[in-house]
This record gives sequence, C-alpha cells and structure tokens, in this order.
Amino acid sequence: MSDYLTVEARKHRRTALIALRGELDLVTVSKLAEVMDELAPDATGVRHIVLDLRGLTFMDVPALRELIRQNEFARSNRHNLAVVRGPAQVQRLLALTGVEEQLVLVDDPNDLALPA
Amino acid sequence: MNSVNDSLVYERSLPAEPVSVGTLRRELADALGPLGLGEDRLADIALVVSEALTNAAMHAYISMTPGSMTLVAAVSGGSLRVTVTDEGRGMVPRTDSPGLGLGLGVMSRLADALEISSPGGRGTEVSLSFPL
Repeated sequence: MSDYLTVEARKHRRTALIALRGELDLVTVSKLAEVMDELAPDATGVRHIVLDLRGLTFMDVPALRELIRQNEFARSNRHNLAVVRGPAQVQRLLALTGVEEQLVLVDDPNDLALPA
Repeated sequence: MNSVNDSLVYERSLPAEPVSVGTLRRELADALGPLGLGEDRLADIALVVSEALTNAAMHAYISMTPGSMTLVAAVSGGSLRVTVTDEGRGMVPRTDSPGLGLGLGVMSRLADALEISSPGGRGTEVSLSFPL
C-alpha cells in the first residue's frame, strides 16, 4: 500500500534531500523510515538531511511520531535535519502537537545554506 | 449510536488492520464531498477519524482473535456524527505506546465532541462530532 506515498531521495555530497508525495500514514511511514535509516548519517558521510513535506496530501499521528524519532536521532547523532513546511493540514498537526517547536523548519530547501 | 433522525452518509466494516485505516479514511472523504465542507474541516475530520481507526487497528484485538472495525458517519441537525467501533478487548490502560496521549490530544482538540465508551464492557466505541 506504499503506492500512496512516493519517497524520492537525492544525495549531493554530504546532503540528502528527501521529497515526499502523497499520504504519510501508519502504513506508508515505514517507507520513509527505511529510506532515512538507510542514509546512516555519520561523521564521514551524510551530515545534512532535508525532508520536504510540500508534496504531502495527508499526515497522521503515527507519521508524526516517526518525524519526532528522526529529529531526536538527528540530535543524538549530531547530524542536521531540516524540514520543509508542508501544506496547511500538515502544518496544523505540527502546530497542534507542539512538534513544530522542536523542528528546524524552512519554507524552501533553497533557504538552507548548507556546506558541501 | 445514531438516532432515526440522522441521515446516514457512510457506513462500512473492514478487518481491524492498518491497511484498512487508509481505505476507510479515503472512502469517508469521498462520501463527505457532497456536504460541501471546507478543505480545513475535511482535513480535520480525516485526521481525527484516522486516529480513532488507527487505535482500533493497532490495539483493539491484542491477545485475541482479530476482528473488524466499523466506521459510521451521519448528519444529525447541524453536526456530522462519526462513530468508530470495534468488538475488541475494550478500554485497557496501556504503557506500551510511545507518545501516549498525542493522538488523543489531537482528537479532542479537532473534534467538537469526543466520547469514548465500552458499551456492555466489550469493544470500544469512539463517538465524534463536528459542526457543519
């Protein structure tokens, strides 16, 4: 059922850009988790991850929990995770739960001045 | 429980498993289309209903034979009344859920009214109301 979500990952030097399209929910979220875990950011590889939520049409609480998990992992692993703001429904969920306060949020991936 | 004055918009039962959550959520959204609700209201309903269905799919039938969950939506007066029911183990305190309370908080903030009960001590019924 992961047809409802497309996860497109691109790497450039030490930065990974992950763009999501479709529905991020309790079924499809495993696809995102798999892609993000495979990046295995470390001191010599990927150091910056940009997660683009602009293409989402739905996000639920289990998906939000995965976002929290990835954000906590980024902090403990000392790599950078930035989240590109999604549509109104997604932003509303982040705001209602206070999760937006914990994330590095940007409007556009180009807003980030990332080192190579 | 819906009264005789309610106008049924949607009703379906599916196995209480994760893949059913999206199916029911999408079908309900389609069924609500003719009501002309705003995009934000539809998004709120989809999120809240999805959370109630997720709880049923993930927790209702732990340690027992898997069963079904039922989603019913009806217009009653100036409200949309939605119920999610299962025939599982009923409301049991849980300590195994990370982010406990996150989903319940979202449901209670986005729905006009939220009631969770265990009729007859068996299964769980989540009743939600949204203004039209």
